[in-house]
Amino acid sequence: MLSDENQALKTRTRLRVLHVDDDPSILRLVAKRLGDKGIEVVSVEDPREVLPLVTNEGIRVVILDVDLPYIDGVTLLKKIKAADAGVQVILCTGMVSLTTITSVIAAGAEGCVFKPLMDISPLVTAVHHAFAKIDRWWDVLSEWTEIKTRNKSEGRIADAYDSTTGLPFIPSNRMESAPPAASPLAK
Amino acid sequence: MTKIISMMAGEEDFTELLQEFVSEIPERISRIETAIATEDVASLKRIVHQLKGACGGYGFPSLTDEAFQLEKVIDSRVSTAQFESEIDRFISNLRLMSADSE
Repeated sequence: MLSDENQALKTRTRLRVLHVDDDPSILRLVAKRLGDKGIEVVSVEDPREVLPLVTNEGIRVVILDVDLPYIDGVTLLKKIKAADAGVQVILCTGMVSLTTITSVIAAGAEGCVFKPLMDISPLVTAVHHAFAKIDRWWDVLSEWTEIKTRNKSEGRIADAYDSTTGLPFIPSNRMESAPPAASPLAK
Repeated sequence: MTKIISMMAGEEDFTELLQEFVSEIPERISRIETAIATEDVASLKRIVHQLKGACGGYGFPSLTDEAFQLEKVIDSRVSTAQFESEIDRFISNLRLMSADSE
């Protein structure tokens, strides 16, 4: 259960995505259609601009074409996930081979939507699912932080457990007087 | 010749975007013709591929279908006459695209 403070931090006032496609008309179409659904779109034509944007602008969801110049979408997907595994990537592409589909699944894509985008709702749904996944992991990380903080304040001081003995690991420069907690690794 | 009218032509807040797309078609046609003249198959395929993805989204599904068929023609070993016939038809239909509602 999240504290009120962490719940407030998670609450998002807007959905913001990065869309990558080498066709400006597709970029305009998606920005318009998603914008009408309350989703802000950062549009990028050159795939070489993607990694700096993901790293520096806090982008958490990327919509990515596969057939791109300079670097193909599958390779870029892998680079994005290597830079930040928490970023959710939705492929938006024309018909591709089954091999490509299995490749993007293996590379960690969140979903795939096919062009032409005569109906924008599949893409909207994919974006919402991506943010819901991010929220779920935010909940996990927040709860982990709260548990760790609570354990420290209540005297369960172990940050980690010795992999050999299973006993709580206490750095030698810390003078702790509390008895070691029961180790989850103890046999 | 009968104009090919976008299925989105009646959407008031989509008009400007649609008009911009249609206004760019002559430039795309010019790039197709240049690619053919210079035998730049890679560029030709990319332009046709982009039109395949874009036309349907802007309410021209028949042009998406034609671009899809043309991609296959470009990839297969068809005769020059057949290739020229397919390209000419595709370009003719691109020229008929209209953003007007009637």
